[in-house]
Amino acid sequence: MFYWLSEVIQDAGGPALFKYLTARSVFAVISAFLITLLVGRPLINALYRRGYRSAERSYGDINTASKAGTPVMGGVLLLIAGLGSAALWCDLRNAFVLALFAASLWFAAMGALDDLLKVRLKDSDKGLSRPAKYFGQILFGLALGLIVVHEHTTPLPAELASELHVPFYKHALLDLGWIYVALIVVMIVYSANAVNFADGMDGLAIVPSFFVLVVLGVFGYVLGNVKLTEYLFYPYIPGAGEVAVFCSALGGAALGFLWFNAHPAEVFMGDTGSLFLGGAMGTSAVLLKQEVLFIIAGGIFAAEILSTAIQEWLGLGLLRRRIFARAPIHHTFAHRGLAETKVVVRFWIVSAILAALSIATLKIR
Amino acid sequence: MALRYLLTGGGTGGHVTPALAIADELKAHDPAAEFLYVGVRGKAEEILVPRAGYRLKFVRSRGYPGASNPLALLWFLIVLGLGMLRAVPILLGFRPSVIIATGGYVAAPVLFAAAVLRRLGLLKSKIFLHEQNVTPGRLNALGASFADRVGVSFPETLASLPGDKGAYVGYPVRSAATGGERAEARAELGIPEDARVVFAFGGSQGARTINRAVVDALPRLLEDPRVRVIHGTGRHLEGAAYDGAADVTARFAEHEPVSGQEERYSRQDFFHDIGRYYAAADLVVCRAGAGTLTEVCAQGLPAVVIPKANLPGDHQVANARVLERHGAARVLYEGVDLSAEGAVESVSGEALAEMASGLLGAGEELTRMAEAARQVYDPETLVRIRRLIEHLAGKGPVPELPSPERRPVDRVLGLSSNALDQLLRRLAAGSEKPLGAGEQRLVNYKIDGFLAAADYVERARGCRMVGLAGYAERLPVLIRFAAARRADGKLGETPIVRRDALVGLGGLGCVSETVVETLQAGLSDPYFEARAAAAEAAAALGRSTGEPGPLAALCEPMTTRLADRSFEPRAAAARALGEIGGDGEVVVAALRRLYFDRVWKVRSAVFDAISRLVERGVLPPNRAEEEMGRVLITSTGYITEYPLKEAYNHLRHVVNGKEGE
Repeated sequence: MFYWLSEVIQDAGGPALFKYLTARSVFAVISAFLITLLVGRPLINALYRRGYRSAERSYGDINTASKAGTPVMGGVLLLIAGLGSAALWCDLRNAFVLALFAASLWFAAMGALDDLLKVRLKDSDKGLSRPAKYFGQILFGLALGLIVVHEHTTPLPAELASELHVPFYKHALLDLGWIYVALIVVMIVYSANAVNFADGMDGLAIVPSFFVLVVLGVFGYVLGNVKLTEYLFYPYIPGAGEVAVFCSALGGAALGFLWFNAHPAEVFMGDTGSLFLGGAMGTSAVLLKQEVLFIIAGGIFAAEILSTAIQEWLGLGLLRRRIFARAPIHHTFAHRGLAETKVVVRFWIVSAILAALSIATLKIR
Repeated sequence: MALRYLLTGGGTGGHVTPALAIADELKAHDPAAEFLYVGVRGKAEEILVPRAGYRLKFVRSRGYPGASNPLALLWFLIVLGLGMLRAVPILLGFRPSVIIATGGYVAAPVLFAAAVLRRLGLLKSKIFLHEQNVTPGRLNALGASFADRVGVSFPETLASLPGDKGAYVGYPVRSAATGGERAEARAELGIPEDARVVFAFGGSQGARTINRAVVDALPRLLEDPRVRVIHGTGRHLEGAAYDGAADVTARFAEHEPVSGQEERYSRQDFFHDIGRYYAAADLVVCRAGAGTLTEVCAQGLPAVVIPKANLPGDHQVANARVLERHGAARVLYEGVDLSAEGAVESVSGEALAEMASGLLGAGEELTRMAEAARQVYDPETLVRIRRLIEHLAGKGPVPELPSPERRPVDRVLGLSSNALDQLLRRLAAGSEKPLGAGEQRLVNYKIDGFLAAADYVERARGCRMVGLAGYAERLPVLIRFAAARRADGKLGETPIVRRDALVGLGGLGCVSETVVETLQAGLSDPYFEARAAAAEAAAALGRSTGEPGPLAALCEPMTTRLADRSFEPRAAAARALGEIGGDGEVVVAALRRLYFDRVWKVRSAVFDAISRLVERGVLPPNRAEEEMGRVLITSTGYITEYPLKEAYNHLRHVVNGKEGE
């Protein structure tokens, strides 16, 4: 909105403050954060009053009896603040921004449906069925993949659309053509589920998400900048700078959410939040052609989903034994006796280091 | 104008026979009525329906494959659609007054086509559904939504039906199967008047448990020269896993020939005129399917019932228990046979022989049971069904239906392994009323079922429950599961089952040389959770017996476990040494390597172990005091407290207390 306003002001001969990406990104962070602070308390109370509370459930060694009754669906707070701030500061005519809004709403809606079912049935195992979840995620992945790869619809430069880019390597690794659609589908399903699995302790999903958003924001800014791409030998992606503003808005919302979600949590993001964050971050990574980088930057998410997959398929399914003491991996640490806060802060440290490493790949190539 | 009835349902005899029973009843009271049976080619109805003298037409149908395989689901939908297309001309041509469906996938295309035609106003037929099982099948549950009336065999089923469509009617059996004359039947079969006839059969496809038990029991049974055994082995269907006749032949080959077998034992794979055999019999040995038991009761026969284990809701056991409570039958539960390569459900021939010859020898008891069986049978079933159908056809008044008494429910029946596990835990914690003797027997029976399950998760839970329920007779199973090796030297069971077998050993509280050997093997299991479970079991046994005894032999391997790669075995071994260590100084010296263990839970176990050494009097308190100062007490774990939630819980407590007054 302010982007449009600034155009109007500029046309009238005024200053062009709101046109600059950096300024809009900073404002996006601040306004998203302020929105969460303003909306947070009443929203959490409203969720509690309406009965959106987590049910008691034994999660391995984490005692959830003391967590029972915590309001769920806090993802709504992320959604209001993140998308609200993005609407204020992004160029809403930009194709990247539209794709990100579509991803956010689609995944948030799926998550909300899941949360509502769980609350209604008072059982955290009775949300949307697995096939239904995968179906929704694959559907979105397919749509995004087809739009990105097809030369007439792609928001990317056409010669770039189906190329696979990896960190530490200056040129495109290879041009995948239509196979790239499949890769995008896998990427979307991966990112949505990975954040979902990480959402198991207070602050465990939101802070690594924040760091990943920072990395994606930096890359968005660089890739959408003619001079920087020339200097760093990246393919220039016109309009990618708006992804930086969007990620900033989400990052600000994440910080605001952490305000309430820090241990002991006053609200959980639920699937509404984890699918929304996962979907939005996965889509950003696809649009910026930084899929592999996203997996590195979000190494915590990779560890969570990989440990679960190995435990379920290889371990209990095939070998009929546990490979990890517990899965997803944060439960293993809890099982070893580490306090929740300890595990969470250590995961934050690892994700901060991974984020720093990811940003370093800008130059180390 | 004559009434027209369209019958459908089938796939197995269990759905066809009730339909024929209903048809016979309707025909007997209205000879002018027309009947048409719609079934699937190649299924039970193709043989049974023409034999009963009804016209038969075919449609196509398939069993519902489940939603997991989309291709199979698609094929199912295509076949169902074709079946519906074929059913439309049949329905429009015959224009039945009432459609009578007895379930099974065979009825699906007819019912769906009828529902569509009725919706379009092209058909005015009423739909009557009969449900034979306690829990409605998938099709009947769906069909109930557009049926006009649903007759159920068990009062419990009424609750799962929409509105007041459900009506308790009972299980219909054909009069051809019952009511035969004993003397006449014996004359036809060439059986002397004074013979004692045991009629044993396991249903149309046969039952392995019954077949093998009968063969094993034969020598004892035929000791009495008056006894004759008629054995139904079951018919082998193409594609079915079990071939009863071949199994029986193989079983006989393992035995010496029995004297009198030639004259007094006969076997058949199928009985077309089962009524004659019922009539000739003095005692029946059978499964506990609702249909079979209703026939047996209708005939007024005493029975030895062997319910099939691990069925949904344990419905055969529930059926058997009804008869047992009324004194109409004796129940033999399947156990787990360990002599075979895997665990197989079985009933010992000895147990069967003892029960059967005991009953045959006690004439009075047999008479009492026969009388009780007659009492259980509800002769009004067919009358009620006929009145319901006639009313639907617009011919009779609204029939009066009895409000049936509910069967008493066993807490244990129908529980999944998980639910039973939880019940046993509550019992162990004392938060549940203790089990009665009958329930205890059922618990053991259910555990046997789990131990023999193909799913390893069920077997594992079964092992833990052996310990929880104190089912000491299954100690050998646990030992076998925990440590038995195959011919190639690899461990026979899956890791999770080995682990839980060791957990079960700890819970059982039996200490013997073999148990100690098993625990020792468990301590060097390749799976870390199994090693920890072995150590925990040793600790639990040491604690419950109060003295190390033969467990002392475990001290050395237990000390080795203190160096385990995984922390769970280290901690468990430390605790176990606290229980079984004979010399406190030796144990403390071994524990010393754990004083700075990375995982605080291990160090916590060290304190537990030293406490036990002091309590058991094998370590002087001053020595313990010296040692405890050397252990690192920095901890990375703590327990969160929420004072607000405690205040909330306090208020809850106060409120509950006041309410209780």
